[in-house]
Amino acid sequence: MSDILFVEQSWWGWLIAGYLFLGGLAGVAVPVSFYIWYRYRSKRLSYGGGVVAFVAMIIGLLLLLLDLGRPQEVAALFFNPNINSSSWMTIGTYIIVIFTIVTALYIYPLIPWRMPLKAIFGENYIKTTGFIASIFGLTTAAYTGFLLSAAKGVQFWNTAILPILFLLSAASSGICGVYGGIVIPSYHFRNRNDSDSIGKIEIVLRRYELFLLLAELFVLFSYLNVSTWKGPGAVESVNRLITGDLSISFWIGVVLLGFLLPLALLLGYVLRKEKVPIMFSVVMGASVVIGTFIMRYVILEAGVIPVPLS
Amino acid sequence: MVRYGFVINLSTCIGCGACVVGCTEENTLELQKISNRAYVPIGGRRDLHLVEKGSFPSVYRVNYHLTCMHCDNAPCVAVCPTGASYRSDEGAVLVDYDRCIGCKYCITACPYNARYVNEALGGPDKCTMCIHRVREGLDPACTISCPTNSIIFGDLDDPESEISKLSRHAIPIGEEMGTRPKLYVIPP
Repeated sequence: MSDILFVEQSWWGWLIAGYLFLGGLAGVAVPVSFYIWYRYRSKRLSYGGGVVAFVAMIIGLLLLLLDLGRPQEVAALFFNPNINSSSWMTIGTYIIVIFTIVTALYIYPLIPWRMPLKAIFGENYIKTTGFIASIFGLTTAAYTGFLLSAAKGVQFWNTAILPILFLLSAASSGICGVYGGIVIPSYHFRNRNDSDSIGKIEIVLRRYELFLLLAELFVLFSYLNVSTWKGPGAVESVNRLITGDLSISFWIGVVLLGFLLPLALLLGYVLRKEKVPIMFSVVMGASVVIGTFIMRYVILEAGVIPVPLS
Repeated sequence: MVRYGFVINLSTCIGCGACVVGCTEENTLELQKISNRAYVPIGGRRDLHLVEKGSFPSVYRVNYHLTCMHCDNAPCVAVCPTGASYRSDEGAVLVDYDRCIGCKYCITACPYNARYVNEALGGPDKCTMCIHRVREGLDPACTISCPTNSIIFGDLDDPESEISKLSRHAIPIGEEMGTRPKLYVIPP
């Protein structure tokens, strides 16, 4: 007697996938833009990355709120003596709230628009808030994986490799967030110095992106491969991704758009030392971003609960 | 301390579904009180999954029961961020809707798929062991609806009770997952 009933996970859909993806993108875009500020001490060069991260986090938090079935009780997460501090949902809530607030504090003096009191924030202020925001950003990117792997029902998620995969895909999409916030707008820079610095930054980002995508592809492969040994529920999930109802999204959305297209573009340009054409940045960035979102979505959708019957 | 649980005798269960009907009938009224709504549909607290086994001519059917195991080490309670899912003094796993935010984490955490989203509540709904009846000294609705007395309810910690004698020969479902379930089945 070992009958099993397979139940497809259908409670967390594209809202949660969108949040997981935006949280990861924002979580890595902040440390990268902070590094650019630290290296060049140029507000003008670095503010775009922080703005992209902040906007992504706000949209992500809205998606999270929209997914809640009982948003009227959301205060229970903050003003509640019985709060369960060992739940990744609780830990994550505090991490993302602190991250969003500190990111706002960090980008405020960087933004070139005229706003009150900006003159009083010195370099030490940017250094401190940028550092704290970077730490909380990387934690945000990592915790989304732990959130899923702690869901005991879904065998496919119940693995140590998922946080690693999510952190890597957050890093590759976070660099694309920096492309969107810093590199692509810089094509309009008239200032020669800024343009040179952006060129150097872009070459470094391009190499990291290539490395991260290759590492992510390897981790994705080992995740799917090792999952087939994990148990009937995980096997069912992998089958749905490779040959089943999610195979078109997986092969076209994740493998082709998320990995092969950007890898081909990056390999074509990785050894060149000059600034790349704008179309490269746009197509490479967009394909990685869309591919990362689809990857989060199919991993959520592929979740199967193998219910033991006896 | 009591530790209530169920033993389901699959060898006498005829798969009639009276337990499902009894559960729905009883708990629709209870949910109306919680949610202040005129009509609260119940669609997943308890279900039957019928499997045909064997090969002709020795064919038989097993009527599996899908419901909450009221685990002593419940994964749904472990992941609930606000403490809305909790284990009561009687050993029942319950939801406190004054604290539930509807994140649905508990539903993905349950390896028995015992929870579902009740649209009227906006959050998870599950078997409550008919705790409102049990606290008045009555048996749960599924137990009293069963025509063949295949669902036995009682205190597992009382060595003289019928259920604790039966549970020694019964299998706790999915015990290997470390959830310490309190629903036992007697195989057919």
